Amino acid sequence: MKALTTRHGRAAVLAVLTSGLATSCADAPHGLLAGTPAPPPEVQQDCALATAKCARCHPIERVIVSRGIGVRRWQMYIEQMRLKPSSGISPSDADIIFRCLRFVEEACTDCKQGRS
Amino acid sequence: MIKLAPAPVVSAVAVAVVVATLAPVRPALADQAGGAGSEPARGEAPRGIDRNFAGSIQLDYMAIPTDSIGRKIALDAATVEVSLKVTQDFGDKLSASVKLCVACHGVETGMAFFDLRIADELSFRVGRFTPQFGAFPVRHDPANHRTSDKPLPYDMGRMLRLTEWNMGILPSPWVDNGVELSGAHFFSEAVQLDYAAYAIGGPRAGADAVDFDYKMSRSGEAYYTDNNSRPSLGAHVALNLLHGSTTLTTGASAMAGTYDPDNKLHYQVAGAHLLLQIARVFLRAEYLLRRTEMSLGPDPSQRFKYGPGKDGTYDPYFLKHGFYAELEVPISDRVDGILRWDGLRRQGNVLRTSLLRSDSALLRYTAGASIRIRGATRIKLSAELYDFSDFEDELAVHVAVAGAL
Repeated sequence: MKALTTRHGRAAVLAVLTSGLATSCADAPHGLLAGTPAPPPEVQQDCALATAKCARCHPIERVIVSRGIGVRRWQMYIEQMRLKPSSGISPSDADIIFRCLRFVEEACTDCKQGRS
Repeated sequence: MIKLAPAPVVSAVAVAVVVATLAPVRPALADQAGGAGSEPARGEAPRGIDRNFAGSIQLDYMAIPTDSIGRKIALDAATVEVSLKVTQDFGDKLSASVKLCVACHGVETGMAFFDLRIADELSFRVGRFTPQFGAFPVRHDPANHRTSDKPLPYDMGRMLRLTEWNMGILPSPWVDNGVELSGAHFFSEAVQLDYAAYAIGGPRAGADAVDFDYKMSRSGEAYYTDNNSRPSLGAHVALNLLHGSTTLTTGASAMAGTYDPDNKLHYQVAGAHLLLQIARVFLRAEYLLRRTEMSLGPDPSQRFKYGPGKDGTYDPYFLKHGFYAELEVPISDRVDGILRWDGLRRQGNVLRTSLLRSDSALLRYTAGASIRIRGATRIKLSAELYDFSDFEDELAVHVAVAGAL
């Protein structure tokens, strides 16, 4: 029982350390539109849909850290993702997602991969 | 039917492609197997340079507080999973992908295939890949799912009592050589139908086997070639109903073939899945069933724990069921909560040496959180309570760091 308690204690210490690490390393909360000046409401709607669609298969951070790759590449990737099994991305959804990412590419002048 | 290059050749080609590609690589969002590159490339990328590098890393520590030496029942402590992927696009219709993985098995070729897309409704994939089965495998990369480990039906060596249970139903990612035909059709903006059909080498085992031998299925000593000169065949279909940020997906999968060198022992795997997404809330559920034929040997009474049935004959089949239901809910901008309930059940005769019975079950209850700390890096925390029918209940605790490159 004592050994079990000790092991539980170690797990608790590990959890506390991990939480501390998470807190100390955390950057500011952000989404697809972080760093873009005054996105219009329709773009905010587009990006909300984009966030929901992308998060179906992977965390949205994978998109966020890739901002800055260029409009043509986004067009290509959105098409690739649309064709993934059960993507849930219809052709019109793809247009909406592209509008969001095109705005980000054009409006966010400080979107660098790995820094955003 | 399908004769592809032996895995050493595939691996050598894969390594060569990765090495040759790393230097001039251009960063981009990777597909679901990876993340982004290192330097930004703003503006239009020059045509003809559509080569992308992606990757992910997960370091997971699993502790088993209920056991003094967890290693006796699991591969506990620290494990690392790394994937590096390169994709080359040859125009709009043809692409090639190579993915190397490093995990418990050492360096493996997780992908080495060509994709040829004729239309949305018709694509061909040829090479070494994970065939479409169920819903989870598309998210198998540790950077793409919120828990440290996989649901029990798709477990690949991280469950407790993995030896006694011989893991789950179809370990993910299931990587094999073959060819796959797939496509998707939108009947309207709200209805998407996906399909896939494939022929692959299939699971393997030695002669006189009673279950799959996963080491043989991935071992270079077997040259990664089909062990019985007969492909396994499979198919997958899914219907997606879309309405804004809400999606309802239901699908079914099946795969069948033989797994022994003499082409005598049959297996069939079937699965069904359901996914409901409402914005960032996900409810996922899958059920898998595998029927596997065992070799009875010359004297079943000496080999098996249980005697013949009422008809005086031994049933050569066992059934293995697996399921999971998972709820993923955003708690804050950076924290997602996960509740998962999964399980396995095995019905059928067992070897005399087995610690299982003719009807054994396992239920697991998981609570976890995935915390984004910086960029695409997350910390995953989870606690799992194992409820075994044949062993003492156990608790496992996971702490992991995972992220995309």
